[in-house]
Amino acid sequence: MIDEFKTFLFKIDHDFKIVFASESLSNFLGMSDLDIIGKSCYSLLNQYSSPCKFCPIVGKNFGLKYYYELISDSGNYGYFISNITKAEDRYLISMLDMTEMRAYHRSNKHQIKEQRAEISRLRNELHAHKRKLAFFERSLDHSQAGAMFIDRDYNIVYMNLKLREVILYGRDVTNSKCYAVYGYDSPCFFCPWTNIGKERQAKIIGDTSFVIEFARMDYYILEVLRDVTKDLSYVKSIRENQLRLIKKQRQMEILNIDLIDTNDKLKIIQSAMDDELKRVGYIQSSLLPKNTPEIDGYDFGVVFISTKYASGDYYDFIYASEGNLGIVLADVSGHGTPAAVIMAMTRAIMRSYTLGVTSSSDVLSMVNEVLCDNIYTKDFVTMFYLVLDIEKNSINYSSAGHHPVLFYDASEFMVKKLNVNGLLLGIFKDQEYEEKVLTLDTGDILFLYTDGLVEVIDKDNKQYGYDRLLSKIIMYSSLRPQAMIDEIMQDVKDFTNLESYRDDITIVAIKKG
Amino acid sequence: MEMNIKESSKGFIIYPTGDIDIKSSPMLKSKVLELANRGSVVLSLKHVHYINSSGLREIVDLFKILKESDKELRLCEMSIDMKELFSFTGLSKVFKIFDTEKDALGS
Repeated sequence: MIDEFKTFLFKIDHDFKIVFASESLSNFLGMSDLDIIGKSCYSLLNQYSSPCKFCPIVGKNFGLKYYYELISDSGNYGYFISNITKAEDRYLISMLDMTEMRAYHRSNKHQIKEQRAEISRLRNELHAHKRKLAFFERSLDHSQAGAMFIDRDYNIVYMNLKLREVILYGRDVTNSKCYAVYGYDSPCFFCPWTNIGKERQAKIIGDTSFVIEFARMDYYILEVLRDVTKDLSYVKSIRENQLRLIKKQRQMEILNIDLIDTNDKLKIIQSAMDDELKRVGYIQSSLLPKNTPEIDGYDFGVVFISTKYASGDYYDFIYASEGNLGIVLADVSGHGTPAAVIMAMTRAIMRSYTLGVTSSSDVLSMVNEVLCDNIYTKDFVTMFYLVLDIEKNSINYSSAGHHPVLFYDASEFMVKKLNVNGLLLGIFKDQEYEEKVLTLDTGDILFLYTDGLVEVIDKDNKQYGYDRLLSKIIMYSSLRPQAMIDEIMQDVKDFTNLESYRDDITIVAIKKG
Repeated sequence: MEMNIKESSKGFIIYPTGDIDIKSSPMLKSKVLELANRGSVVLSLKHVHYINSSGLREIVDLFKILKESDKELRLCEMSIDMKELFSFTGLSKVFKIFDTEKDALGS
């Protein structure tokens, strides 16, 4: 039975002489038992003359296994693993044929080498992939957008830093499904696995608005979450600004309509007022003398220019008595209807109180009393009043706050101011007025004017002025008073070069012939 | 019109600058009335070029309003032209007019 195995068995004595050999050994060697028994093992098997160097019997290290090759004289080859066991004074040597096993082992070894090479190559490849992956992950971690990879089973395969630590701050979605990120319990309605071609979705997480962009691959979806809160807030603020603008615009339109409306109404009121002023102006004009007096030895000139239909200027020639002509020039402060009313009142007072009174100061005192009782506005009246004694060729004159009347003294070729002081009319009662007397000679001129004349301005806001007026009076002193006034007014017109005057202008000039 | 105000232990001095006319006088008037409630008020006219009849009207009105509550408005530093204006209008006898600020505050 032993022989059927490819295993040899033989026994040797302490002298290395073979005392038994299995048939398989004699077959392998091509010898009969007779040739084998009694021979020493080292000479028969290895053709040595002394025991083998590695022999366990010599080294007394039993139990070790030895591999070795045998080639018989008959040409048989074998590769064996041997084992020696000691039994009393004999040694049993078993040799297991490993030839086929070795051939197989050898070929296996080659394969293993190849496999190892393959494994190493794969390992390198894996490392390269891992490095690449790590790089991608690091890159994704640096991204300002959140990013994650989702597999077919909705598992989060990878999530970048931004998504993990910023967007989902404080929320643990480890081992969660991807839809948990968006706050769902089951796959999102917009899931690209079920919505083929889905590329983009808007979603609010917490207070933050995101646009999710999907890149669907065979086994994974890359989802990139971009924070668009700021962009949306810009859009929102732009929209709000626009709304505000539109609202403002509407308000402006309404206001504009209002303004146009108001303006139209104002125009109507203005035109009504203009009409009224015109009417007042007509009445007022009718209150002024139609003609200048005709007195032998005296020549008169007058100009009356009203700026706003109704004026505050007033002049008059009133006979106080036979041979005494009262000449009045007054200026009501203010303009328009109130001024015109006060002017009309002043005229009425003058006309009723001057009769029989030849003292100019007495007249002013009386007029002041009446005006103080009748002016309810803050207006006052300036008045220059003189009484011309036609026989004596003299005047007495007084002033109630009116600027001095100019007197051209023909004998001296110069203009003098008739300085005389007195309070404005209509402010305080119980006023006394200064009165002076002046004798008139041939060529002398009395020049009465309201301050509108010297206050005429040109386009540079420069006043016509008192000095220019003086020089003109002297220049035109040889003319008749009306001609002199016309020349002066022409000069004023040339000076101002403007279309209208700011204030009323009245001039009364009296020349002694 | 501009308006500077100086406060001293003896009262207020108001310095209107430019022209006193119908446009500028309401501001001047309200300032004078406001300060008059706190002390004596002096109007220095050294920077006023000109007062026309409407400006005069406002100053007279101011005088009247102050007079109703027994207050007065003192004027000072007037130009020659302005002195003449106040003289022939008789207002120099109505207002207290001084040559200098010091005189106006002192009395």
